[in-house]
Amino acid sequence: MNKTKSSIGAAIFVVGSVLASPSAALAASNFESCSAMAGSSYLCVGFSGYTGTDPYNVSRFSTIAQDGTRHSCTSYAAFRLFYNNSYNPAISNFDSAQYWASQAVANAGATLSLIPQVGDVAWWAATPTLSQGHVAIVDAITYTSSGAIFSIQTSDDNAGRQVTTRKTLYPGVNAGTIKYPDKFIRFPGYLAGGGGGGRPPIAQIGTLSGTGTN
Amino acid sequence: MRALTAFLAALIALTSVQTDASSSSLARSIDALTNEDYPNVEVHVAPPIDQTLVERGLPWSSESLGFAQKIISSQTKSFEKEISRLASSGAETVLAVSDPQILRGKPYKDASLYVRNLHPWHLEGLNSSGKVIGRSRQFPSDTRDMGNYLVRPKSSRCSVRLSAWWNPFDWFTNGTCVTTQVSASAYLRASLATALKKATIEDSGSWLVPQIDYALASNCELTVRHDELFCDALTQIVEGQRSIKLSGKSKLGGYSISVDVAARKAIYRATTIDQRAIAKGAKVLAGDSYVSFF
Repeated sequence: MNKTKSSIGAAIFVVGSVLASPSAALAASNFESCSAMAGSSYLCVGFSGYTGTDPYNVSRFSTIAQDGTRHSCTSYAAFRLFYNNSYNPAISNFDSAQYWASQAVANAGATLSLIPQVGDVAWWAATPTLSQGHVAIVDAITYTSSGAIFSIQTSDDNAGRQVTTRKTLYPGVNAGTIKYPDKFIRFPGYLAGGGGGGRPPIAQIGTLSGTGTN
Repeated sequence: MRALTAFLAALIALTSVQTDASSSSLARSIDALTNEDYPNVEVHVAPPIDQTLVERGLPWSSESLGFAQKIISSQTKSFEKEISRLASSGAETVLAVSDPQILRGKPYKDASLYVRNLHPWHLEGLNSSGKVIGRSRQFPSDTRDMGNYLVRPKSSRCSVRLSAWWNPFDWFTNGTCVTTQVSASAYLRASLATALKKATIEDSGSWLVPQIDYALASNCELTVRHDELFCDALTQIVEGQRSIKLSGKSKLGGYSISVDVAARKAIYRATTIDQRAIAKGAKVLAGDSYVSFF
C-alpha cells in the first residue's frame, strides 16, 4: 500500500461522483450502496488498500471477526488519514469515534466544518443508538447546478457489523441507513490529488461560483 | 414526497453557513450526547461501553494472564535496567518525574478505578551533590493502555546505594529503587477498560434502528418469519437488502427487536456486554504486543 494507490482511489471516486450524480437526484433517503459480506469484508473499500490494520495502530482496538479480519471505523479513518494526509502521531492516541472531533481539534491541528470536502472525516456524535459515535471518509461530493451540496459519498468500516460499506448521504436527511454526519473533521495536509499538502479539486456539476468550498 | 425531502435538504445545505471551529469549547460541546428521533421504534439501549465498570475477578484466559505477566516483567526489567544505567553513570539518588498526561479528558474520568496515576514518567539520576547527571527514557513505552501505567516506581525518590543514617541526603529518600507490585489480572482489568474507551462498536444491533424505522414508515408489506423482518422497501436504503434480523448475540452485547406488524411499531432492546465472555476470550494474536479483547 502506498500513498499513490490511495490517491488514485480517491480520484476515481471524485470522477465517478460527477458521472453518477444525475441518478442520485431520484434518491431521497440515505443509502448504503455497498455492504460487504463476511469472507470479503473489505470489498467496499478495496480501492483504498485497507485490510483491517493501520499505521497508527488504532486497529489494536478493533473487533476480530471469526475469519480473523479486524474491523473498526476509527482504524479505517486512521488508515486513510495516514496515506492521504501528513503524518500526525496524535491520531494514535484518539479514543472512540465520539471523541474524534474534540481530540482532532485539540491534539492534531484539525478544524471542524459543516461543509464537507473530499478527504474529510465525516463524524457522528454519540447518540442513544450510536453511543460511541461513528467516523467515515468523504470520498466524493456532488453538487446541484446552483452549487449546493446535493450528496456526499462515504466509505467506512464497522466494528459491530464487521464489514466495510459505502454510503450516499444527503444534507439534512436523517432517514435511511444512517443520518447525515454531524460535522466534518479536516486534518492538516491533505495529499491526495497531487500531493504537496494542498486540497484537491472538488467534484462538481454545472457551474460553481465558490459555494460549498472552503 | 421523498424527492421533495431531498430537494429541501439540498436547499438547507445551500443556505447553511460554514462554521469552521477551531476552539476546543465547541469541540467539547458537540461531544455531548444528542437525541435522534425514530418515532416508530421504542429504543432501550445499553449503557455506553466507554464508562463500563470492569469487574474484578473476571475469568481471564490463561493466554491473556500469561501475556500480561510477561508485559509486567518486561516493564519491571526495563525500569531496573535504567536504574543500573543511571547508577553506573554516577547517580546516587533517582527521582521519578511525571510527564504530561496523554490519556486524559472525559473518557478517563473513571481512570482512578483502575490506575493510581495516569502520567507517563521518566527517571532522573542525581549525583552526591544533587545535580542531575542522567535521564531515562519515558515510561511506559506503550502509553496507550492504562494497564501499562500500573508498573511505576514505588516512591518518587529512591537511593541506588545503601542508605546511611548519618547522611542527611538519605533522610529524604524512600529506600531502594523498586517498582510497584502488579498482578496480571489488575493489568488486564485496566487494559480492558482502555479498550472499551477506544473501541467504537455500534452498540450490538442499534445501527439497525434507522433501518427498522424506515421499514415501518414505508408502505412495504411487512412480514416476520424465522426471526427476520421482511420489507422490500429496505432495498431503497441498503443495496440488495430486504430483511432485518430481529435478534443477535455476541460478547459485546446482544439485541432483540419485537415488531407489531399491524401497528407498524417496534421495540428495540439491547443487552450489556458480557464481561466474563470477553475475559475468557482474551487473546494475543501472532505478532501483537498487546491483548485483544474483542
